[in-house]
Parts: sequence; structure tokens; C-alpha cells
Amino acid sequence: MDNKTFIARLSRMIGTEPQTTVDLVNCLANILKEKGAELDSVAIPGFGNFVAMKKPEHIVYDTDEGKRKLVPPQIKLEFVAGSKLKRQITAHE
Amino acid sequence: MNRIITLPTLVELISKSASVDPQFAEKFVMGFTTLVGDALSTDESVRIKGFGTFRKKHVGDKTKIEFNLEKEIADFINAPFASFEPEILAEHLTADILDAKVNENIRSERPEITEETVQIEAVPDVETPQPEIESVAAEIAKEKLPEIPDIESIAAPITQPVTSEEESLTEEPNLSDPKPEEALPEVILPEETLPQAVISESILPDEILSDETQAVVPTQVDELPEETNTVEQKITEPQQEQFQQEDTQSVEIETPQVEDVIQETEQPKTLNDRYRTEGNPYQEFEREMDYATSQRHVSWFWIAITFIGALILGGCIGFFCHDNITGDNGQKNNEVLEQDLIYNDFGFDPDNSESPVEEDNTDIDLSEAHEGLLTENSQQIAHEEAVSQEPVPSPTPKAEETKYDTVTSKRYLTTMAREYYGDKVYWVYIYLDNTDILRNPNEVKAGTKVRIPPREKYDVSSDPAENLANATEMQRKIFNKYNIH
Repeated sequence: MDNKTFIARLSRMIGTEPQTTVDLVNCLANILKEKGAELDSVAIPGFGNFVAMKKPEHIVYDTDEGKRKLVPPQIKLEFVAGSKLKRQITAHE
Repeated sequence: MNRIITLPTLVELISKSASVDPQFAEKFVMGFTTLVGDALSTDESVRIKGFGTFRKKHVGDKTKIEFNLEKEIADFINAPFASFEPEILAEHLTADILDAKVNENIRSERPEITEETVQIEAVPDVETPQPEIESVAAEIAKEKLPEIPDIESIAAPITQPVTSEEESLTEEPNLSDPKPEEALPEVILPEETLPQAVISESILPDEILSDETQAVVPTQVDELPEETNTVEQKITEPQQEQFQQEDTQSVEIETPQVEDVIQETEQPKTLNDRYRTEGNPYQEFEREMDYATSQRHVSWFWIAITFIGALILGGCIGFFCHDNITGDNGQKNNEVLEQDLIYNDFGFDPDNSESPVEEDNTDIDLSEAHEGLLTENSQQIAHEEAVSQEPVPSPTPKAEETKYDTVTSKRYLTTMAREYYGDKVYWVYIYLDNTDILRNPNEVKAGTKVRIPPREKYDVSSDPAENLANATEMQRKIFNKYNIH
């Protein structure tokens, strides 16, 4: 499902204009961005958690160059699916 | 940090930022999640612009939902680390060394506490009442000096048992007599029975006898022996005899008590007594110090001896090496002489290319000359000396300028000889002219620059057949010299 289809369906679902839906999606993205930068997690019941995890600096062996590299720290925003969503997915399978 | 944003908080944040009703914001969130869930359940990935992509992924038997964050959001989150880049590590660097370096950097970045800051923090805003100097001095004195028990309390345990025993044994004159010495002037007790400082070690702990207290204690303790003396002096000789008789006759148990008291008093108590009886307690320490000092001197002595020995050894090595060097030079000289003899054998004078070759010299048997060359070095040296003593003929100007050529991987001495003299056998002339830089003709390195002697020097063009024979013979000698077959 591409972005256009998603926005159109969501707009129909909540009964608004597509532009308003786009603004709301952008609001949600900004909130995730800010909270992720503060290493906070966003929990949505029945859907899952957006968990910000900081990966400390670590040494990686580059097989192409054959050299070890010190990789700087990194914050990753991962999505952990909730049990309801998992059940929903497995039920269809 | 590490907080969990719940749904109500999220709805509130959305409603505030988008200026919408919270119920509508909640409806949006629910619709968002439902739509994504429906799409994922139908194995359909969902891509939301400015947010990310939800994708279903099968890992073995399990099904996972993968969420790829939009690059813009990922960059914003990792903005604090954007200035860092992966760095290639040296081989010797390990994680431990890196951690240690990081800790050192953290320590070095900490602000140093200067005296000024300490003083500023220490100075209070409100003036506190200053304690009086005397009370402060008294407190300091208390802290430094250990508490010295009252001398009367120290003396009491000693005097009281004795007096009680004395009183129990006999009827003694009043102890409170102000002048006991006058009443009993004849009694003189030896030092062994009554040491001066009876209380010094029997009652006072060792700590009290420290250097700081020794100056104070003796002045107060000096009075104590008098009291003990007065107690002992009260036991006169007749009375002692009487005590002994009574003790032997009736009470045998009491006498040991008195003896014990006396034995206790007989034990050396002061440091001076310990010096007298046990010797200097610091003697062992002083002995160790003397031993360490002597060891230090001995070590310096051995270092000096080793240094001198090394110098002598180095001198000897240098002397013998010098001899070896001169021996090498002699060998080199022999080689030069040998080469000169080869010249002479064939009638060539390397120093004088214009000198004609005498016919008589060419008649010399080459094999004999060669054998003589190899076996009779002494004769050669003598011959060389004789030659050197002869007047050197004046050098004549060269007919041609000396040419130079360079040996390469494809250009040998033979190639040069063929080019310059017409036959490759004449390489021996080039070789003989460059014996200062050439050794084994088969091991001439590429890049070696050699002199090409003029044809007139070896008279190459006069008689080709003879010259060829001479060159061949010379080549054979050179090959024999270097064992080339």
C-alpha cells in the first residue's frame, strides 16, 4: 500500500480531508521524532510500541576492506508489535 | 528519557500540535493502527511518506513486523552523533585500550579545583564567632598528646598493696609520718630492689612513654620513688628478720606475696634499664641500615668494575679487529699485486698505457707465472717493493679519452668488448681496467659503471691472433681465480 492509498483510505475512515490526514500523520511523525530523540517510547494499545534504543559505539569488522572500524553510537527507533496485532496477522495466515 | 508515552498523552500531544479535538485525534490514531494492521494481515506492506514503512517479514516459522523509519526522522534522532564517522582502527587497538583512553579523556576534561574556588566556598557569608586561642590550643594539645593519668592514681595501686600487707603483717609506724627518713636514716636500699621508676612500665602503657610525654612524666614521677622508698624503708632490718621468722614459723603463704611484690619491683622498668639489660633496641635496625649502606657502596663498586672491564674488553676487541682489518687490506693488496703480476705477465702496464710491451715478457711461461703467483706471495711482495723503489716513469698523455659504459641486464662486459674491440674475448681488458670496482666477472651488478680502456692501452689492434690468445689465457686465469667453469 503506497502513501496515497493509505492517506485516502484513512481519510475515508476518519471522515476528513486528505490534507488534514496528512497533517495528522505529520504530527504523529514529529511526536515520534521528538520522543525518539529523548529516548522515550510511544505505546499504542492494540498496535505496538515504538521503542527508541541507543546502540553504543562498537567495533565492526569490515570484510570488504579487511579492517576494523569504530562505529559511532546510534539511536534506533524500533517497532515492537503488540499481541493483538500479532494475533491479527497470524489469524489471516 | 526512557519514559513511555501512553495513548492519552499521545492523543493530547496530537490534538495540541494539530489543533484538533482530542476525540478526533484519538479516532485518527485508532484508524491509523487499524488500517496498518489490516494491510499487514493481508501480507501488504504499508509505506507512509514522512513516517516510515511497515513490512511483514517471515523469519523461519515466525512472522515479524519490520518497521523502517523514514530517513528524515532517523537523521533527526541521530543528530547528536552526526558529526562522528566510522573510524578505521589500528591493529594494536583493542576495546580495553579504547575504554582506558576514553576514561583518561573524561578525567582530563573535568574542571580542576583551584585554591581560589576552595577559598571562596570555604568563606561563609555570616561571621562565625572565633573560638578563643587558649581553648583551641588546649584542644590541639589534647589531640596531639595522649592523656596522662593522674600520678596519684598511678601511684595508688603500688603503694596501697604494699602498705596493706605491711599493716597486716606488723604494726608499722604511721605512714603519714612527715619525716620517715629521719626516723629510719640507716636503711639504704640497693637499686636492684627498688628501681627508680617503679610505675614506668608496670602500670603506664608504652604509648605513654613516648617522646612527647617523657618530658612531662619524669618530673611528676620523681616523687614516686620517695614514697615507695618510704614504704620500703619502713621495713627495718630487725623487722624484716622478724617477718622472716614469723613467715617460716607460721604463715608460709604470705611470704611469696611479698617476694612477688619485690620481684615485680625488681624488674627493669625504664628504657635505660632495658638499655642496660637487653642492649640497644635499635641496634638491629642500625645494623640493617649499615648493611644497606655498605651494599649500596658495593653495588657502585661493582658497576665501576664492570665499566672498566667493558672498556678494557672493547680496547682488546678494537685492537684485534684493527689487525684483522689490516689483514684484509693486506689481502686486498695481495690481490692487487696478483693483478699487477697478471699485467706484467702479459706485458701490460696499467699505469702507463703508452709504454711498449717488451717481447721478452711475452715469452714467459704463463702457467709457471700463474703458479708462482699463487704460491710465492713473498716473492711478489719483494718484487713489488723493488718496483716501487724504482723511479716511476713520467706518465704520458693518453691517446684517447676514457670512455664509460654501464652494465645492464642485457649489456655485459662481453657485449661492450664486442662493440668496442670487435671480439667478446677482450672483455678481460675491460675487467682488468676496472678491477677496483669489479670482483667476480660473473657477478657484476646491473648499473655498474665501467671504464672502457682505449684500444691502444692493451694494443688490441696490433696483432689480432696474439692478442686473442693472450686474452683467452687471461680469461682462463680469471676464471680459475674465481672458480668459474
